[in-house]
Amino acid sequence: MPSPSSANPVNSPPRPKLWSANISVFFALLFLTLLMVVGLIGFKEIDNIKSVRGLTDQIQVSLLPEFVDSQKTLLNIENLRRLTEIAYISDDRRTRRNARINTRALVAESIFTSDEKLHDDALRASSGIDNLVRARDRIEALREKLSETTREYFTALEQLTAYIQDPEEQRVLFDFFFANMMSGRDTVFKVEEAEFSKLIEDHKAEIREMLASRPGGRKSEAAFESAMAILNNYVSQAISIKALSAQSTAYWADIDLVLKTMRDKIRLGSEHSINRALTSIKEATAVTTTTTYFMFGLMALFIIIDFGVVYFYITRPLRWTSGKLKDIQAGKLDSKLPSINITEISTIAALLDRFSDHLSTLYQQANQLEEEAARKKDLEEIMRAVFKASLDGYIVWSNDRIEQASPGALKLLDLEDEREFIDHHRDYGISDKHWRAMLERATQEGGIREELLLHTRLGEPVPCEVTHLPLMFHERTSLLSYIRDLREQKKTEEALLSAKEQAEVATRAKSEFLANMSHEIRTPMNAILGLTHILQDTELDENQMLYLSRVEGSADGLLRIINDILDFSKIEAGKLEMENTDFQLEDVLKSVVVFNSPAAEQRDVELLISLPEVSAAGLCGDPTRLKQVLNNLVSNAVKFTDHGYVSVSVVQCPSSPPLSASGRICLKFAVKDTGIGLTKEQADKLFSAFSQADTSTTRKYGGTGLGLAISKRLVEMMDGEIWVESRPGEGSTFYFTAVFDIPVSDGPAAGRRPGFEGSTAVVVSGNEVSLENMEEQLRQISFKVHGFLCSEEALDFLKQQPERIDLLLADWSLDKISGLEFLRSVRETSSKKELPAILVVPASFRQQVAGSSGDYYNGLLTKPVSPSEMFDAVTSVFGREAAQRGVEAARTDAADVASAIKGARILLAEDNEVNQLVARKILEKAGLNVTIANNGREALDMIEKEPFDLVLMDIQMPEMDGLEATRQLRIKPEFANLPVVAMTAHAMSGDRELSLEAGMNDHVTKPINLPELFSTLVRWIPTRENRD
Amino acid sequence: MIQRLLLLMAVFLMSTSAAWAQDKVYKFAVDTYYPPFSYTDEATGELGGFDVDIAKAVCAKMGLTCEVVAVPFDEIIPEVENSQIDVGCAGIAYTEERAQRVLYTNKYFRSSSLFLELPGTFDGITPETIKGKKVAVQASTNQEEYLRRTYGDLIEVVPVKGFDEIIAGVNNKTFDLGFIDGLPGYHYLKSDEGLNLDIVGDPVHLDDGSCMVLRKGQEALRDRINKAIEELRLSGEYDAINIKYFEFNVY
Repeated sequence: MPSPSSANPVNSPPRPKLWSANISVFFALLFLTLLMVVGLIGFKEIDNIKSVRGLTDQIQVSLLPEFVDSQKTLLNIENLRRLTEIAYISDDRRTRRNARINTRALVAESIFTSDEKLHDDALRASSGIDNLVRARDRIEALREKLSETTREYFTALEQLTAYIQDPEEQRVLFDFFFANMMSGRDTVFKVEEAEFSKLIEDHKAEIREMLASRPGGRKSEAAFESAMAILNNYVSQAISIKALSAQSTAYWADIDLVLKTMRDKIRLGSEHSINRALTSIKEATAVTTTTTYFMFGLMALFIIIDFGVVYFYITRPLRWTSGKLKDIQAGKLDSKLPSINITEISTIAALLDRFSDHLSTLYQQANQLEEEAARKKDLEEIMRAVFKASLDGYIVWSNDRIEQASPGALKLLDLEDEREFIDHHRDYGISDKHWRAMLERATQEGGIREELLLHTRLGEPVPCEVTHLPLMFHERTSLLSYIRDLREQKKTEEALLSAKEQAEVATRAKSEFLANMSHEIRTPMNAILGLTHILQDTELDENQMLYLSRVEGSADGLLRIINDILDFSKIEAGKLEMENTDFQLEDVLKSVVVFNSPAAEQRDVELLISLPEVSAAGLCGDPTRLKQVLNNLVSNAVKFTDHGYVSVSVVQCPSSPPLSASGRICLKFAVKDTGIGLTKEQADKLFSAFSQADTSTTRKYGGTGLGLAISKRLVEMMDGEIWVESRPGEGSTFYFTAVFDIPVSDGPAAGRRPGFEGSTAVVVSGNEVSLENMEEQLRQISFKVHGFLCSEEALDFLKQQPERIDLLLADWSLDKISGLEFLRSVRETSSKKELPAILVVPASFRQQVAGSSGDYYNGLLTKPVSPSEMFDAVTSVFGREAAQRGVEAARTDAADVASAIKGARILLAEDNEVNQLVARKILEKAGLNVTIANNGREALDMIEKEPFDLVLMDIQMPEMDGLEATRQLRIKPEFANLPVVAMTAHAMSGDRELSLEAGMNDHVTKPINLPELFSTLVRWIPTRENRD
Repeated sequence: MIQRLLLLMAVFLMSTSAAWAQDKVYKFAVDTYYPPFSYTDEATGELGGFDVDIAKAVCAKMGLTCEVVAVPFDEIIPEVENSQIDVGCAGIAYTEERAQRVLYTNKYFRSSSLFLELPGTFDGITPETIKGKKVAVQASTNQEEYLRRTYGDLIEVVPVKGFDEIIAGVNNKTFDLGFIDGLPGYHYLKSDEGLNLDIVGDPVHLDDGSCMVLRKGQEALRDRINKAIEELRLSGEYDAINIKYFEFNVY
């Protein structure tokens, strides 16, 4: 089978057709137009020919007869001329008469009668001829007379001879006669009259002479006289004849002229009319010729057009069609379908197109089938090979019969003989009924997998995994079942399972170990720290104080190290879990600052916070871990900075989407210091566990080296990154990003603060960064701010007062004078007495100037100033009520707390004696009543017996642990509201949940953090009024 | 059997057609004495003349058999009417009256009419000059009709049977004038016998041509004769006959 030259013949869609027509319609139109053109031409031609024919008919009808007539007339005229001549010349009277009669006849009968003018001329000619004939007749008559006269003269002469006898003289006498008068010699007609007269006179003289010499007498005289008379007669008759002859000549000439004129006129006229006729014919034919040329040109054009049309619309499509057929034969199946307007041909072409499409599809399919067949064959080969070689079993079952079984199947069932299997397959667990059902399902679903129990020859059960596939085997629908021996697998599974269990046990043990360790370590730590704390309250001398503070310091350090190690190992074990609670970012930053303020102050390093637009951020995440990271970074920064500042700033991540888009927010934290800086090698090693930048730093600065590694892991758990930018000697900036959720409903005071639009503030500070910070914070609450680094400038500005000033903010440390002095000089200039002023002092100063408003300022702020502190201060200075906020225990003073909870009854459930002691001391110092329970059961008993305001419940206790005790407690409805606070050394996040689930209200961690403890107590101990 | 029948039929048809062919002899009538149109040759005793020649030529052209007979002019039309003769070939001019009675062919010659006199008797023909004169004319001719119509009672119109009577009468002064057809007139005047007489006055043009006549209903034959005349003219046979008798074209 020929393969198509193109794999995918795609015929491009035909150009859109403007029109389409039936072929008969097409041809009809074509022929119709041609016919019309031809008809038009034909009609025009016929018209032309008709007109020419009409012309020629006209000519024939009018001119031809005219011409014929004129020809006839000419002939007749010639006849007349001939007759005239005959009349003129002829000497025969009869002839002349006949001529005359013929003339009359001719004139009467012939063409002359038609034309008036001609008729007149003809009559003139006729009468001329009559005259001529008559003249000639008269001439003839006269001639006879003349002959007679001649004869008379001769006779007279003879008479004279009687008188003249001389023969000589007689001869002379007759000489004249013979010479001049004999007929035929009539000299009288040949010479002039004068001459002839002369001759006569001479003749007369001669005779007289002759007579004179003779006697004769009167007789001779008489004879002479009569002879002379006759002679005279002769002459006069001759003269008459001559005259008549002349006249007849004249007649003849006249007639001739008339006739010639007539002839010429007619000839000319006929010439003209012929000319005219011919010219008109010529013109008509010329017009016809021109028209014919034009018409035929038109027809030729039309034919060419028609040819073009036929070629374009019929020939070309047909040729395409035939070409396409040839292509199909040759196997070339892609050709573009041209736009065909004739319906039939278009149908043919479209069908051809489709046909070739189908053909190519068929080719494709054929190819595919070939390939499939080849593939199938290959597959069969593979299958057969696999079948033979496989250790697994294949069975082909059809119609309750085993068609084939692979060696693997036999081996699996511990058989050697295929026959045995085929015949008794049911014995081995191959149930026909089941197989039939499987075949049906497999046919529907394509394949089924199940687990079956088969039996070996020896009856040993074999768990198998069987995969059923429908198959056409030898043209019958069969089921191919692939049997896999699961025994090994089962064994492996069991082994895995036990291993898993063992691993779980190990993990559990490990976790428990960690928890225990945590507990075991923390408990004595707790004791150490607590006891040292208590001890500090007793009386001690300087040395003892010193030693004690060292012990406390070491214990703190040790605790920190232990925490780090535990944290690190938790992280490594993957056990660290992040909380997901709502918190305020500001509070976290504030506690970080507070935590690091003592160290910073000691080293004369300023701590700064910058929170541009995220100041009032309510976030959802793990504040503890965030705090941990920040503390780590900030304490490192403080540690490695000798002078300058450490600033903490938070911005939104540059590439993070808008706040509300995903419900999450990415924040970028920067901890910048002006410390010793890092080299590149140092920076690279920084985040690896157990490495510090320099081993010498360990000795100088202390620390485990785990801090940054832990921070890195924590940041990563918060979906962020951590990195450092630094140069040796130029300080470092540690950056990290973290992603938090945005809590669904913000806290009451989150978001926009009411602003101070329209108010103007003046800020003075000696420190540029501080100044910028404060300026920014004021701008955030809609102040218009004028900032000054130079106090003199600020004083001048305030003095001049170009605009109204609403607030004055002065930093304690200015460039030349102190902030207090500055404010004093401001207050002392008269106009500024009323100007609200706030003094910003370092944290350590707070104790000194705590709460005082002073003469020169209305409010006090400690550095670093957080935006909300700024807001509160400004608000209170302006006299507005500060917004209520839930304030975290970080700022709560122990003193403030004391009054709130004084006298409350606390039940402490704790098994460790030392811890008991420590706790009791702390709590009693705060003015609380403390009762101790050693374990959960004891606690429950005590609760039943005595009323308590709050229970501090240790989790890990013998006999009954805190969780169980709480659970039992909560069963009783009267204790449903009794605050129970857990104390736990477990730092695992799951613990918190466990506590809450058990029914605890809150928990504090051990070792005890006093502020945390107290704030928790404050939170949960009902106010004095509410206690019962 | 059939073959014999066919043979018989063929023979029968041939004989009948032959009989037919031989049957019809067309009678052409010419005037008795009307030279040069018709006269009896003294030597041969046969009829001759222009009319005779034309009649024979026309017949030959039509492919028919004819017989030329002489019938006095005024009997020709009646005899045509009652089928005694088939064609009257005597130069009969078209008149309304005659057209009622017979069928006319196209003309085959043309002629005007003239007055004959003893030379010098009249000084032209005017009502004054011919007032009260006796004018002889052939009977039943249009000449007679013309005289009566034109001059009415001014003159005495004397219809006579034959042309020769008119000649004789003018010669012996029985009549003052003879009014005759031009062509025979000219012929006569040029002959020896006609030396005595002469034309007087202008020729009178009476009609547009002289024709043959047929019985009414003989349109087919009439058309054939017309065609024959045309053919004679085209072939030159007419001219040959013309020249024989006249020096000019008489058509």
